[in-house]
Amino acid sequence: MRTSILSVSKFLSLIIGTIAIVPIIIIFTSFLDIDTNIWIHLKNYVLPELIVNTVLLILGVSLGTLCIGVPLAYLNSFFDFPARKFFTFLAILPLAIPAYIMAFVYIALFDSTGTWSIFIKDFLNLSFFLPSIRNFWGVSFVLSLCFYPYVYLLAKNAFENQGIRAIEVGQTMGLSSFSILRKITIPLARSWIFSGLLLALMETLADFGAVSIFNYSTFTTAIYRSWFGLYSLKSAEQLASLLIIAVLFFVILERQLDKKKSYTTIGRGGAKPQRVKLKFFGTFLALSFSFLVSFFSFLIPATMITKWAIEVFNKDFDERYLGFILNSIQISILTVAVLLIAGLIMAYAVRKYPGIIGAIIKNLSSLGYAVPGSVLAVGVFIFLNTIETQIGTGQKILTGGLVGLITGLSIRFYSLCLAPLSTSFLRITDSHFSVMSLSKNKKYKNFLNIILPLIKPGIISAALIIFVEVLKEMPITLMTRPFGKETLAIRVFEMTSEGEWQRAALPSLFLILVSLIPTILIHLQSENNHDK
Amino acid sequence: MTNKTLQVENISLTLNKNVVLRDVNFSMEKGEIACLLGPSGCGKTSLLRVIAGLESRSQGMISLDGNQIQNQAHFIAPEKRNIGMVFQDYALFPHFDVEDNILFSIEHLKKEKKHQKLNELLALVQLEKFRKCYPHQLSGGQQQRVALARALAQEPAILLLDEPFSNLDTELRYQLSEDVRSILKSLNMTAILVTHDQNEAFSFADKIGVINNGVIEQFATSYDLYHSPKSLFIAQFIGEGVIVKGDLLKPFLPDHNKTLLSLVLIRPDDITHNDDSALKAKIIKKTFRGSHFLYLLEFENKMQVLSLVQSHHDHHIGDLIGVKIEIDHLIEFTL
Repeated sequence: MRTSILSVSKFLSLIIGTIAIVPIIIIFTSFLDIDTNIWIHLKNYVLPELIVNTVLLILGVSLGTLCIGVPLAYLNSFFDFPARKFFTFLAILPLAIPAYIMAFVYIALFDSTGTWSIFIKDFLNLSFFLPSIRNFWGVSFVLSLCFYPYVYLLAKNAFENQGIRAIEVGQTMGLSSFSILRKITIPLARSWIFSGLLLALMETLADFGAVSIFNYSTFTTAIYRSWFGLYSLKSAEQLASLLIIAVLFFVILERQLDKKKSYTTIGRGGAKPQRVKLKFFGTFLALSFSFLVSFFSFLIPATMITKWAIEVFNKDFDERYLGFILNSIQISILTVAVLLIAGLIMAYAVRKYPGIIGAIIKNLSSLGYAVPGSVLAVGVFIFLNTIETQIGTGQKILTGGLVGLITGLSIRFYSLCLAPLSTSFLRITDSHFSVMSLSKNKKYKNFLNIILPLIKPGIISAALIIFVEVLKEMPITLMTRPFGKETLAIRVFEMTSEGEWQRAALPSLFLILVSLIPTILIHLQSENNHDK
Repeated sequence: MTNKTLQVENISLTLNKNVVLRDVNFSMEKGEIACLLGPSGCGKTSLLRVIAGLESRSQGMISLDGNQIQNQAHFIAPEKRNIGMVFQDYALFPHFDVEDNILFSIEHLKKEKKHQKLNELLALVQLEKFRKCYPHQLSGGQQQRVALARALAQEPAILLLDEPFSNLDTELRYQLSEDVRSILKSLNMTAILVTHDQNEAFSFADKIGVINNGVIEQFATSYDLYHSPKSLFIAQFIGEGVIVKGDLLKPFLPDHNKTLLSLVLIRPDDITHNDDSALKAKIIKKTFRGSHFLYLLEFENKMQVLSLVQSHHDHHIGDLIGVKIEIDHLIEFTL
């Protein structure tokens, strides 16, 4: 038998792709079914502000994450200074802090009744030094603090894998260190940095919690408000479909970059550059910069959350919290399991049969990452509800239990799973596949003995990233969870929507602590890679 | 029934409307070592992949040890063809040490059998000392030998080698290709090597198939390729020499009335240097080759030829030297 056109993995990835894309299509098609009255209202009163706000936010977060992430990665990859390893570690910790937590900490600090404000106003009498942060600058600042690690991690990865040849080529051509940075290091890492930026921007577009705490109107908050009856379900769907178009643009950009990424190592062997020991002034600058970043992005929120959590601990903490934690972990682990299976099949199919159709399925099905959770939740709900109606048992076998929630979360975080898996599949060369094809070994043995060990790093980082993301996720969990299923994130939502910042800090602390574990493991893994 | 180990009949391959291989035919005896030689992009690696079954979109018939592994109706999957393959990038598994890499395709064997086989192979490729090393701890040549041992482990009916030496430096390349050849000969292993390096092909193969634009232009011994090339492409591709117009050569031949085709191949060894010869040619260019000089010579009628001359005959560019034209048989081509 000739190699079949439709192999098992291709067939399965087609199904996975379909499940991943249908809820999004449901939302998208609402765009074609325009309600003229609603549309005119949106166009005249809602869209102008939303578009301006969203574009501004994208610019602000781009600037913020690049200015923090790239220099930090550069310092950490090429230079040595005291406590460098410690700061390398601190730099990724914001990954463990959900944007909505970061947001409420800064609001609580800087609002007119906040701790910092009172300190400035009452003790120092310096009210001109009191920036108002419920505005574009405040949101951009907070979101940049949350999302710069994406840029940082990808830039660092690129810098460390460029190989020493890249720099040596520059040196032999008589370029100064700055010229090497400008002409070689940054351009070589460009596609990686840009990928990191795109991840950060997709997070920004999808963010609901932080912008709503800031009362900064974006598409997501407008969709949410529409959803809850202010306008209509239809207009929410239509706004969402506009957002998907914007997202599609980013996804296409990201995929284009992906093709370029494999060319970024110069020379064979890829010896790692020796870190340059910084002199006094350089050390001072590096330490100040690293410290400032970590101070705002982790130390302040972590300290304040801890402080407030301790203050309310005795009053609030009881056995309910064990339930919140277990629920959170259960949902995360289930999602990780579903995604790893789906992601492995898809990444394998795309690697083994690199064709245009596979690429399209892969690209479309990873759209969920940029679709706002609240919208995705409704898409999934309609999708599953339709299936239930077709089956016609009258029972909520799909939407009643965890299926809807896990499906929604899986679609949302699918691309987070696919990216590291696809990358690690690149370690398996075409010749490796040929060697496996030619051997008489059972296929599953080749999978267990060769493929799995080679892509293990990808699996681990995918699992860790998804675990953290699901823990932090709020809107999908909020809208599709089974009745009474309370998680840590839900608790935070309930407290922040009542303006109870201090009481929101207690579940936030738990959330941060649990998220820290995989975040630290990610860090250790990347350090290991560097040492190899 | 045929006693050929490998028989390839009318193999064609078209990918995305590009004809990669066209009506390829050749056969090999047991223990024969063949080489597919050609410029890059000529289809030689594709042919290897077709034989291995890694490229399933081809037309034509292939039989191995008398069994048809591919024809119009059937296509035997690569893992059932009993073919060993060595790749240009070695394709060793980075997470396996030397032993595990070699054992990869014979895992199903009994433990004692496996270890006996492993030790034999390690001895064969002289890597006993490196059995616990990982690929990244080995040199290119050592990695290549591991890849060879891995491919030989399953005792394939035929071994395919896809430019296996091209990532190695020159000296190591010839040493290793000799080693590999003697290993294969000692096992009486039928093998096909793909290369673009004709010296490698000459020293490695019993027979060479020269491929150009997806067609095997000639499948013959290296001697025949050199001395009786069947096409102008082969005449130019194999060995050194110049193609001259028949009219220019005619006056130099003993039989002046012989009709010549439009083009004639003259090898450097067809032109010998002899100080006493009345026939003189001017040195246009010279290249030192150690034992010999390669001179580019020009006759009065502007015909240019190459000549290999022992290196103690050190003449200057522009000198007129005596030569003899000693062509055993004329190799002629039409345009």
